[in-house]
Amino acid sequence: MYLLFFVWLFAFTGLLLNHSQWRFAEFWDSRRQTSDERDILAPPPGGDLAQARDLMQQLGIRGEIDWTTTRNDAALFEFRASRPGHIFEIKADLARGKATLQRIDLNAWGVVRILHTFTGVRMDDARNRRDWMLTSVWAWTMDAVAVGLILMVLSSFYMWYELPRKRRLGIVVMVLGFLSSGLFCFGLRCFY
Amino acid sequence: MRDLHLYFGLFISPFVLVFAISVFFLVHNWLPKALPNPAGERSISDLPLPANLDQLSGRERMDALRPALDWAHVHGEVGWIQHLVKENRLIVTASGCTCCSSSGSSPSQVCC
Repeated sequence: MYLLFFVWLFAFTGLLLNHSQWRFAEFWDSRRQTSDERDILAPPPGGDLAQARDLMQQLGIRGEIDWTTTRNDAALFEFRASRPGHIFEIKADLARGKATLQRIDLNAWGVVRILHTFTGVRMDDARNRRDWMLTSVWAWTMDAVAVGLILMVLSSFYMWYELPRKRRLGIVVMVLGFLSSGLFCFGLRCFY
Repeated sequence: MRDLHLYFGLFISPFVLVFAISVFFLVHNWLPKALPNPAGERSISDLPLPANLDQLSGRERMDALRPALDWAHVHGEVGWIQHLVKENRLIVTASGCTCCSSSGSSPSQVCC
């Protein structure tokens, strides 16, 4: 029961991610986008993360920081902060003491879809690490769900094994399952 | 009905295990082999790129790139295409392989 709603959430959002053409779950076209310029105080010298956090505090933003560009000019600072349902693009001109804040608000479909992939890290960019506490909490929750699923599968194997009359056909079906999942995990390399 | 539930569960259990185990790799970015491997890079010249590639977008651009990807033996699902106009460069991400190719009138080249 502990896993039920998480499994439903990941299964349902998996379907949404696989079928982006489903119009009922559309969220990007109906996003609300606002942009304004605000006065800021240049953050004290320090690392990018500390400066970004300082700016976010000044702008009243909470969320996971995404590094979207490489910083070439010490006076210009661009990054993105996001949390499910909200994306903030911050472009700060530290020399002028101004920051352009673009805010994108998504509907509930956008929130549930982003939850599926909201990890705070990217495979192809080592710079992006989790820097918001709630992202870490969500990541630990996903770990707990994964551990729960593995335990559930292993315990179901045990319960099936305790039914001698169903072992033979069960083995056949399970081997077919392993073969077909192995085809996707390893076998496709033979074809491509 | 109970038997169907049992056997269907046994059939999909390897998939559930794969998805559950993959969570740890995705959430914690644990996949050393996914890091760029300079030794695995290759450059290919004279790709068959259409002249109007920089004017295409979306599905049309994808379709126009497909012969070049096939020619370079880059297979798999194409994720996203980034066009760096100033550098006259297209970055195409295919599953398991990131390729960049120059476009326009200059000699076409791809590196993976």
